[in-house]
Amino acid sequence: MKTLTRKQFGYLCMAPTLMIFLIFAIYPVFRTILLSLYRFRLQTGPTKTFIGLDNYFHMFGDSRFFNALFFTLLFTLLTVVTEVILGLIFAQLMNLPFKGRGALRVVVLIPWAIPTIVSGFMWKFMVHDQYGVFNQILQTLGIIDSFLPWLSRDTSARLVLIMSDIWKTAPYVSLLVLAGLQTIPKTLYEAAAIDGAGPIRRYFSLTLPLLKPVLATAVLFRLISSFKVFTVIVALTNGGPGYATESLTMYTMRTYFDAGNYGYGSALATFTLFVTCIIALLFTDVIRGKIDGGKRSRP
Amino acid sequence: MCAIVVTSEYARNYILKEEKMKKLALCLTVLLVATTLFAAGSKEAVPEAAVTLHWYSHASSLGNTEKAIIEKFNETNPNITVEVIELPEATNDKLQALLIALQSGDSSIDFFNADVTWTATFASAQLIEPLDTWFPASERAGFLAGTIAAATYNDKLWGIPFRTDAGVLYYRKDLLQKYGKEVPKTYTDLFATAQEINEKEGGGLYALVGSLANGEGLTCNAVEWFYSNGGQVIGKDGSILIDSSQNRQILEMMSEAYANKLMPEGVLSYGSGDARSSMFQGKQVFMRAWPKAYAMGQDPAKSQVMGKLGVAPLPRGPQGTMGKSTLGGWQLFMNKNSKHKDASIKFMRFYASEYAQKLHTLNDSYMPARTTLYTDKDILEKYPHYSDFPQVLETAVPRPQSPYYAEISSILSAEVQNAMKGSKSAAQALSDAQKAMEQVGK
Repeated sequence: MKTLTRKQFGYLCMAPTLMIFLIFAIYPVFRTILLSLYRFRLQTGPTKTFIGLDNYFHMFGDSRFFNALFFTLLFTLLTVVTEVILGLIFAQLMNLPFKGRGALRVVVLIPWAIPTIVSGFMWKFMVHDQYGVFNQILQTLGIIDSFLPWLSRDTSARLVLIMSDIWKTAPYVSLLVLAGLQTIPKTLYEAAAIDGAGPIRRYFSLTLPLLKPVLATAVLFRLISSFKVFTVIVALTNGGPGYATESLTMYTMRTYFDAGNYGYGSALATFTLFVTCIIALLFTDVIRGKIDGGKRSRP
Repeated sequence: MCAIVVTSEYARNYILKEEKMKKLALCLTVLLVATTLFAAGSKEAVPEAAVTLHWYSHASSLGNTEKAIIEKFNETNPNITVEVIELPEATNDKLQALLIALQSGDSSIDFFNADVTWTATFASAQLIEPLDTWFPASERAGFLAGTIAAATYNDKLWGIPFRTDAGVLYYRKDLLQKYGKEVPKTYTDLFATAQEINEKEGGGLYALVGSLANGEGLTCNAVEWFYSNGGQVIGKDGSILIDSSQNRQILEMMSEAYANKLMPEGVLSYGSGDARSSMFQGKQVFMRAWPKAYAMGQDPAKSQVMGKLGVAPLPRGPQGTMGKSTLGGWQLFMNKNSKHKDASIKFMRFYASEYAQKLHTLNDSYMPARTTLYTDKDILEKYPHYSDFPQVLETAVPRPQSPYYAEISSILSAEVQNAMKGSKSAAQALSDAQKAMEQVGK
């Protein structure tokens, strides 16, 4: 009997995980891609008709798809950019030595710990047109004359969704950045200070470049999860008014599950998968490169 | 004692029925034997193979009524065990769970609770058993016409209704009395009445509110507007009829009312809870809601208008002959692949019987699908306002019947919002809805 080599034993140990991964992750993905090539509807029974790329041609002529894509891109861009900027600022503040810093670091995570559906409803109450505290504050400050129906108008409904996502997720980004900040050796700053670099110079020449891998990870996570936004929309607007806040994921869910249009729903899901894969590929390169680079530059 | 009354009533139902089918004759014999044995005080089980049925149901109701009904059923059917499997809370999640299971050919589901809007979808996908022979016309006589219509698709019956619901108009009794106003019969009167009351009360009151957030609630409201003005959404032959002058007129009227702040400005994001809270805070003269809002409005912890709420049928549009409510509610469907269809139908019948529906009404304030229960002494004692409902329910209309209902509803709700918020004219929104609906399923 042959004994297993170290490598073979490794594969053996990995086998169960790999099997689970294949069955529950890879198989459904490929099945979805395959289904997107068929005309397959709940209402017409279990027969599938192969139609090639017709679902995709239909998609690129579907104004509701483009509307959803536009809103999803707008949402992703605005939330991720703002969250990263705010995350950098908050992390810097939380890294300052002051009394109660530990408590603050915990408190700041609360929005992120609240389930999305709950924070969605909180925001819905806050921007309510009859008793919303948000309207109350703006009115007291003299910014608005009367209470606004935030969720009944296109632009403001989008704005509220974006704000609620930023409120919820900026703390998460700031915590990731804070962790990154703490790995930067203090000696580097001391050396830079001796060389005559001011605080601003130190921030842009030392802190930011050394934070790049952490930032890239944070941006990657945020891009992917923002692009798949769904829950907060269900809680706040359910896609309304009209189609103004219908995201790509929401349109996919409605097409696939509610309408039972499995073929076209799969095509929409495949499109989302394609975009998220591109985002992930772009970033894994950046992250891997920077982490290796970071290791090499360590003293 | 009560059990004997119920069982003998059961036997009577069976005797009244046409005895065409062998199966039914067999059921009848078995049941008669059971009844006789039971009435004679014998606890002996009928010699018949034991069956276990799986019922995919709502999460158990407040009063745990399902359990009580099953126990009662077992008194006469000791050889049938009914196991309840709870479906998810949200209607859409229920639908998905059931579709996935049934499409895979799962035979362990025998029958299940189904929303009124599911009939065409399940029937056209051939996932459920037609019930015409199991539940013939003679047995349907005691039901509200709308509930049977909603369970019917392509001239076949697919479900047995056990619970119904219909939109009604709530009004402030005190305000209408104070200014000597009648309950409005038309939407024109409704807005005029509310405006006058608002002026005399010194402002701060909205005329109308409903659940107009994007989604199913809005579809119900909009369908009521259309039908109350003589319009339609889908014709009997399946043709799309939403782009009509009647629908245009009433949608223009509603959009104008919204623009003139006769409805709360945020109403396009209001679910039924938001609508109720506006009414219960005393900010509304009228509200369109489901009947269950009435009981909530009598709870002093939630409502400032306790004892001031009146309930009436919905008003009609300028071209309509009468106000129409859309129908909600639940029915039982039988899985086409069930291995115990005979036993299943027995329980399904029992669950839709007067006894079971009455228990649900008293325990959980369900609205019964049987006409006779609206004159029932015990029910009226507990819910006096139920006496007004039969006329609303008799004229209630099912929502558009289409296998592609979910898509139809989603287009309808989004385009109505487009018109309400003014980003399209009512004419444009309806013509867009017409085009989009004609593409559905193609």
